[in-house]
Amino acid sequence: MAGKKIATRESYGNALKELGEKYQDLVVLDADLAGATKTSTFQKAFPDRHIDCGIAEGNMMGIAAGIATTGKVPFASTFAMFAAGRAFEQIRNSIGYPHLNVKIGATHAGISVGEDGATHQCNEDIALMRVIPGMTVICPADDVEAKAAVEAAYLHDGPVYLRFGRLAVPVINDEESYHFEIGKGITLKEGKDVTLVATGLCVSEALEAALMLEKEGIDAEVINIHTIKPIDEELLVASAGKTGKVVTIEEHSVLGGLGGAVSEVLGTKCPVPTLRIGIEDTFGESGPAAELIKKYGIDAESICRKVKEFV
Amino acid sequence: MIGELMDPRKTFGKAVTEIAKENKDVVVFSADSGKSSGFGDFIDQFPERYFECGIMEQGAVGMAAGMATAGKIPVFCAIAPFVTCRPYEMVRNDMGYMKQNVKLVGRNCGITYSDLGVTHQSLDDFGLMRLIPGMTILAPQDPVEIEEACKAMIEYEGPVYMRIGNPKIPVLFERKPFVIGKGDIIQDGEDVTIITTGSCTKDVIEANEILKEAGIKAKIIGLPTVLPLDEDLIRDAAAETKKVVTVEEHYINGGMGSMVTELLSDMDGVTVKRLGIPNIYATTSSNYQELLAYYDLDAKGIAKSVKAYLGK
Amino acid sequence: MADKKRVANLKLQAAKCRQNVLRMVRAGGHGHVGGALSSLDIVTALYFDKMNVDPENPKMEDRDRFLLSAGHKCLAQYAVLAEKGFFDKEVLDTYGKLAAKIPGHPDMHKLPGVEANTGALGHGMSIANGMAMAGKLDGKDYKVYAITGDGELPEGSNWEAAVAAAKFGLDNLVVFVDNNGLQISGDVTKVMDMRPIDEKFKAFGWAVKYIDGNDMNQILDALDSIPEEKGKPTMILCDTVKAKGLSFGENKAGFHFWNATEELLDQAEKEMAELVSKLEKEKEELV
Repeated sequence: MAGKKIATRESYGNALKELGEKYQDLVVLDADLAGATKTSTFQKAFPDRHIDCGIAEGNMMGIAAGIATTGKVPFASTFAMFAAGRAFEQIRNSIGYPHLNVKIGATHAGISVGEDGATHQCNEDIALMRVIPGMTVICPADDVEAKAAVEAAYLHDGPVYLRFGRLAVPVINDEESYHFEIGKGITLKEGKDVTLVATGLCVSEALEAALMLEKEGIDAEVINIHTIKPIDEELLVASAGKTGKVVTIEEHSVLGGLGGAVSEVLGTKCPVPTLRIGIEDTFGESGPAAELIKKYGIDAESICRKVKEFV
Repeated sequence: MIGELMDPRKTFGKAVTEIAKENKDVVVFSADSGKSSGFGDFIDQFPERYFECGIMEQGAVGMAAGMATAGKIPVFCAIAPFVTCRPYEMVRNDMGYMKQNVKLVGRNCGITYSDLGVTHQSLDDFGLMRLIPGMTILAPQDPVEIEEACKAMIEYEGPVYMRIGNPKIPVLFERKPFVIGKGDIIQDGEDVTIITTGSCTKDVIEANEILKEAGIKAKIIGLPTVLPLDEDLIRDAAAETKKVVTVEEHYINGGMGSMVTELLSDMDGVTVKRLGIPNIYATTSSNYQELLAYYDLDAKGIAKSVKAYLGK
Repeated sequence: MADKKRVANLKLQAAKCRQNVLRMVRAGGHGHVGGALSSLDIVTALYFDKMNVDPENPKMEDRDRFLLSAGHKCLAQYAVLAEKGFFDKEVLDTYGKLAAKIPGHPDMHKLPGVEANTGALGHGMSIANGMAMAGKLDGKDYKVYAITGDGELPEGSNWEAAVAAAKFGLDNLVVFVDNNGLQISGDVTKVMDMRPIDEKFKAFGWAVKYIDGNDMNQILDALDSIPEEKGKPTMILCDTVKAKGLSFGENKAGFHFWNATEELLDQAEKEMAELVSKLEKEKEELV
């Protein structure tokens, strides 16, 4: 585990290539970003099943919808901002509403896009996709989980939004023993004082924060919610009931994303105090990814500090 | 006059046209949507300040933002999903990120386009617009409030999204200046806090009569501004009643109910029941009232849900 | 020139379909009749003459596909699907009712024969592209037909789709522009002038044909020569009459959406019934 870092977009490209061999009906679409989204890995292996739509994301989503009506399984890929943001209404109406079997592979999500800045940093894609009825929203934490998620998405019948990152992140799961199930959260560490609920790259940060907290005498439970919709209500309610305090951690706006989803569950079923850690309600900015993660307070140290104050 | 029924679109168009007589910076954008947004008189009186873009919402938002950089105050009104969902990223970047003084107005909101179906119904506009940092969201509750909201919206400098409906709605309140960000206590009570916005307020007030008969004393908060939320008012009420119900013509996730839930999530022991349309693609009917009743968003349905929530 | 019997039959079918449109308006009290009636002759020709579809097996794998990018023209598609036997005509009487299978914009999961959920403008061409591309990928010879409206063309997404269709050589794709010249606000060329539409599509790499979209002879001639050019998507620019067949509503923007009065609806039903009997006679005389 120690040292090994892979960006989940790499995992996405690799998974597509592996699945492409297994499943002949899998096709991949991109909007001029194959090199960045890593669908180029698939493209090299299966050029006939890779369609570059050019810089025209709305059209790409429409094409994916059309292809899906014929029984193929399209993975439509671009940056999160241009998938969930630019093409929102096409996803809503052309994919979501008819419940078509399209998988949206959105890379470069969140603040860790880095230098490209606010127009490319999508801190609201989870919230956007979560509003669409019938959409499954998945945000994997590492390479192992990302690859498993891609296959699960392929096997799932219906639209799926997959959120991947640009930045290389630690591999925290063991490939041999790891099991992925859509909608099922994973308890990574048991604890009794507070529940840390994290998704995506914040899972490894939360684990590290839990170790720091332990030294301060705070016993934190850590839950990885890789599927934000449908969310694992049972696991959340059970853990919140046990610890009585919940902190959500995500590389996403504190509005409408994981924190929003968890608040909605607990606000109805188990009203315990909840702290939402994420990007506050501001646009992002240009800078090195690691520094931005610190600045916006979603690194292990910031998490540890905020949890201490909260508890 | 309280109780008088007025058309929200005409009321809106007329109010903007009145303001435009004094304020020469006000310009209107249309995506084949001007007359149906109540701008008939505006077109006659100020043809040089009226910009017809055809069915081109993304372009209209971009152009409006560009014009705002030069000090104009563009008002762009069309069917709600076509000014929120379709050009989402343009609104985000050109209006939000660029902090431009554009007034976006979504009409025929919620399920008021009852039989035109999902593509024309707007049950996610709060959910989208509230994700844009710096955005203000208004949802006036009656025709007089629409008029006052127009004044406030144009006086305020910054991007605004306002949502209005389609069928005639009654005047509910005496005229008073619209203060962005302020909610009102429509009725005080201690058993439960009911928070309502936009078109739902009329039905909540009616539902209250049924609740009163059942001996339930509800504190009713009306929110003509959804963003920024009137946090103090909501927190104080929640601390008092512990039980909160939100009512909106919107999906139960993403909108005002979710915002209230997030706001109150750090309070111990406060539960929030969100009433609205479940997160499914809503069905259709040419009868709007029938559709509201189908989703328990009419007075009877709201009263039923509140009673069930309180175990009564 | 298309065979006379073939034309006579289609004209009769179209009139019957117009009756179906009126039946839905009768049920719901209103409807987007303008664009439905301007495009209805094209839809009729496609389903009754050209397309490989089976009402008994609407999901048949190799079927030709048809979709309306301008989803509000759905009364035309509902009318034709009903006449073709895709569903029971009594469904037409549920227009406007709660949870109807024929809502104000089409829903592929509610009604057999509908291929896409359109209604928001500027979606259909992209979806049609995808259907056509999958056909190419699998070496199938089905065709994809879509109707867009002249008022819809300012939507930028249409031009994304236009350039992509040419790039991918979709000669199995046919897009009709229902060029009725009117939209909700009035004259299309005044709202946003997209002319010359044919030259624009040509410049985007399409083969273009220009016809009278309410003339069955011309529609059939155009359909018989598809693909217009091998390797290119075909665009058929169809000059049409908004609200075609409503003697009091033709070429009037006010009939984009018609809140029907009893009196005018009675008149329309009467006129259409007369047209049907006339066309039935004409058809018999040819036999």
